[in-house]
Amino acid sequence: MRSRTNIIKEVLFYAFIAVVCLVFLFPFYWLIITSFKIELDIFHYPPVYFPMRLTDWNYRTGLIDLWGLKGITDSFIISSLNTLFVMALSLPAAYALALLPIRGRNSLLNYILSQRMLPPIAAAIPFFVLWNSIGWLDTYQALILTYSVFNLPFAIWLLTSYIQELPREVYESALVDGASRINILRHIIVPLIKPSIAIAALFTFIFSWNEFLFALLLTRSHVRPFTVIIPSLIGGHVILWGAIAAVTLVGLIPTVILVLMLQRHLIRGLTFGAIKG
Amino acid sequence: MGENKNEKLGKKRISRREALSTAAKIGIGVVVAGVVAGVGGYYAGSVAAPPKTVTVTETRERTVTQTVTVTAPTAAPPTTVVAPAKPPYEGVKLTICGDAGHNQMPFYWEKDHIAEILGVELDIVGVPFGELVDKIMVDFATGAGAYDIVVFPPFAGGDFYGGEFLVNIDPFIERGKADPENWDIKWDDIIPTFRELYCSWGGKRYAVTWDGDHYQCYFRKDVLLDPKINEAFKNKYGYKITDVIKSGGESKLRYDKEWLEIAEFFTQAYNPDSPTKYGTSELAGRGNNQWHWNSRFGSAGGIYFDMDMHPLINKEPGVRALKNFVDVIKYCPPGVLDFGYEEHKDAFLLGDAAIIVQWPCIGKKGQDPAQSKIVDNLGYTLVPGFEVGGMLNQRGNLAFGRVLAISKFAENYEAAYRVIQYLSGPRSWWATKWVADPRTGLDPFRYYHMENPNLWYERWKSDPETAGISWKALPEYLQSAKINIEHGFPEPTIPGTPELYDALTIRISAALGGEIDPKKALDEAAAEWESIIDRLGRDYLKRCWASLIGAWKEVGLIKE
Amino acid sequence: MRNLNSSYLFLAPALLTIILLTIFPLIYSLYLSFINYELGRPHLEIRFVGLDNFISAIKDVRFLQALIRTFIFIACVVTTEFVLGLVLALALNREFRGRSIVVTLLTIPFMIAPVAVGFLWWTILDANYGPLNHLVVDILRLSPKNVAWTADPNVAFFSIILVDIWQYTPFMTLILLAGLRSIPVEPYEAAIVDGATGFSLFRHITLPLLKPAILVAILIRVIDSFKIYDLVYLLTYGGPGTSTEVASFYIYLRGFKHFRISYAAALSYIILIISAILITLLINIVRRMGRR
Repeated sequence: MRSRTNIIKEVLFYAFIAVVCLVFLFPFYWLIITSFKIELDIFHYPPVYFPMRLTDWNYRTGLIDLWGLKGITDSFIISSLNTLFVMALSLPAAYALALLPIRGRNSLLNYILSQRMLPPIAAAIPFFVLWNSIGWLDTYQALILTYSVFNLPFAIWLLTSYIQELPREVYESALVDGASRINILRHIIVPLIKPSIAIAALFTFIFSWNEFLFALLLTRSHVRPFTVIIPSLIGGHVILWGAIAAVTLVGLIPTVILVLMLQRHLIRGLTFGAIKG
Repeated sequence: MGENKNEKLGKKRISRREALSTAAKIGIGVVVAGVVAGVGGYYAGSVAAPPKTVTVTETRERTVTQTVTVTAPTAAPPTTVVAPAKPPYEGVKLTICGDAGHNQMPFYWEKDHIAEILGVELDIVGVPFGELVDKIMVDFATGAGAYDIVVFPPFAGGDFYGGEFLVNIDPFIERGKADPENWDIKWDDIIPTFRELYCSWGGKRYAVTWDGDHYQCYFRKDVLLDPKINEAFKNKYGYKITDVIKSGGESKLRYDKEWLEIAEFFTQAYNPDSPTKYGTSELAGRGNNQWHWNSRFGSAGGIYFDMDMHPLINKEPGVRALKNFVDVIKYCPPGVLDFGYEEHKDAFLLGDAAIIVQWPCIGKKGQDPAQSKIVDNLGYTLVPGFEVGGMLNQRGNLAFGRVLAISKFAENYEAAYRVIQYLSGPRSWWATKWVADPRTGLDPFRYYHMENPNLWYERWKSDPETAGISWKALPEYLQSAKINIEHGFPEPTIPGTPELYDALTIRISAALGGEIDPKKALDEAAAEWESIIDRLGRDYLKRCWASLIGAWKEVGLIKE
Repeated sequence: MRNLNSSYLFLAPALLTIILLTIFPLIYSLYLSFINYELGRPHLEIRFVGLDNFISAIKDVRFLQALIRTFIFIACVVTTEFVLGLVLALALNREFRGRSIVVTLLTIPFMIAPVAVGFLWWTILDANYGPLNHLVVDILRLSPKNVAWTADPNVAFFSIILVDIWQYTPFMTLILLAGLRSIPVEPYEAAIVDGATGFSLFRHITLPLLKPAILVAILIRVIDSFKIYDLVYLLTYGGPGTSTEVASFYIYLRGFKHFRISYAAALSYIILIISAILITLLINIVRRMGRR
């Protein structure tokens, strides 16, 4: 008796997962096939779910003729450097805010978070003027630094929250053992919060990768992030839907690789069995 | 303690496995990247194919007796134009900023020739189309001055001319008399509606037309000119469609009569026998609908402002225009209220609508089997109008378009003008090279373009696959383009136009959706226009408007 | 003393970076909001106008409507994403075959550049050729005629919400899942020993211990939703009429399209203050929620 209800539960569960995957992934499937469709099939009635007429024109045009590849390379440079920068600064900061004696901890946390609330529109022209005055317009570093304003708050908050939930004994016993603060951070805290580090890094990367407004304003011809290249595939007289799909897909590759690399930490995360007495 | 040791060992073991699996993943990543790079490299190689060369010699005699030797538009350098011994602007670097994508192709194609002949190193900056005006304005207003030559749509002209950011090119054009090959842009050859309404300001010339956007009326020849369908139409409405429509010529369509009747007849919801699903389509989306309203407004005899800068958009012509716009919506496909350029074009080219008003690109794309299901079935004609004072007044909005101008922050005005002249002068066949090439999306704007179909033919013959408009359809298309441009009605080109448009478009959008009565919508828009004018400085704008009106009179839009 | 110093050393680089980078934009924006500067109007004399911009903003009906729409948007989007995200996270928390793949695949919606998401859904929501209408009208027969997802004033706003939910539910799921993965096992073991089961376990053990993750997830989504702009810009451009005009879009319109950056600066500051108040309220509510 019990095994039958269990089997039904299992089937329902997998069905549920399947429906969820279908809903969230159909648009992605649509993106893929659009990138290979000829123009007449992109807006076609009834919709073409299994295109018979395939072409690579979208890839050639989007990636090469219209600089999709350069866009992806530039975005990759900006996003990875930004992620490294943000993680390097936010880990110690979160550690300090969570565990170390700091006066006004909560106010500092609130202040830091509030910086993410800055509407990009308000900051756009000031940042333009700022970087222009140093001569850093159309450079990688301008974007890397600008994005940290939004990524640091998120990373610090995320990491602080997770560190704060660790049992205090971990930290205190290490202190008692005579470990220095830096070593505690490196050898004890970091391994324990790997899932959240992975998430913070991933989201930081994605935010920088996908950002549009600053990318548009602060660059010209030398640096061309791919989020600016995609809208330039809309001309006054033509929207290259297929090319947009193609460039978007290729632009997904770095982030997917990143997810794959961090996936181990995202899923399997370490439990606290190690602390059990 | 023992536990700690195990733990550490465990960690070490795990980390070795971790390391291996991470290494595996990096490996996969590298392989994927390698494949992508390899495929990319393969295609990059195949793009650089050798160009085809066709040489055509043509003697041109009209206002200027001059022999111009031309070569077919390819990437190869013109064989008969000799590069000067020492390029005059050696070492000058200029940045040209325009909307990214196909419209910039000519700059890329000609970059090397410009370097060879003028010595100018051209840096090309592409900005997404929707952000072009904003980005240029930020550059001008903050004094960053990174752009030397700018490409922009004339409706932003008011802000750029009025902000005094552009260089007066009269002195350079003057030099064209003495030295045509290097300085002449044949100003008088640009069709008057463009050159007077969009390129001049306060009696001075600041810009050269680069793209002649205008509205034409396109219709399904196979359907609207079909005798049987005409019989059925006559039975219902008392006249034949062929009486009022002539492809390549001046049709006599009235927005509030023939246009509505034809649209009704070809909408299946109202006429189940209709061969097309919908009669027509409109650019009714927010941010786009002001252009189709402009066309009707101009046809109804409207002017945007009076001489005291009070808006006249909510007077009788404006209301008539908006009411008619509302009446047409029921003959359009669903979703029309959010239609932008793409949907509007597809409605016609994919066969849903029987007759529309659209930009010139429809003519070219209609003949391209990769984009159109109605190849060889397009008719081109004059846009509809309204009867005003007993006469049929047909006006199509000269919507959007592009001009080339020199930023006042440019390092070298002369060199910048020479680059513009290179792109619009004899070496580019007075820009025919570009407008005849469907890869650019640029549209004709000179009499020269209309009167030399043989140049278009040469382009088509050299590469029919990318040539777009076929030889068969070309004469009708060019004739229709010429008539429509001459019947063009301008956008307002005063400082603040983007804001004025926004106030107008949201209300047109609301009226089209039935949320608000047309007269009330226009009254609200006019009220907001008043407050915008006040804020920007009524006296200043009065002067701007007065000088614009001068151009309107010159083109015959207003009688003295 | 030494202890305190080294704590601040850990914090300093991040804090200094933030302060240095934001101090100029914040002050410059503030300055802008007190003058009447518009891009490209050399004939307009720049002068100090005090609180005029702020007063105009408060009297600006269109702005107030945009704010209300934004609040409605945030409420709908964050609650739906939270509930769906939590359900999904709980489902994904148990081992099953193919779980890693599913989790990886689920990250895709929010990894796609918002700009591209806009285009993608533009094609899906197309009234005449889009697959969604094909599904709704032809296959499921839920509606007699084509739904104008982005053109019907009554539906357009809902469409924006729909796309955002599609894009960010996985985001929520991931944060909550990481939180779930970090919950230690002992509290559960202890509670089961005490005889607790199923839902009661969830309410008394899982939820409180998940609180920090919940807090982070909701806060970040609220902050980001406040700034929503890309989707509106691409799918509806604020229309039909103004039915999808949200706060950020309106500020962008005024600041960049109409060149009124002083006014936009004032609007931005108002938004900043409102979101600060909102966030503080939220933090207090969620913090209080778990206190037992």
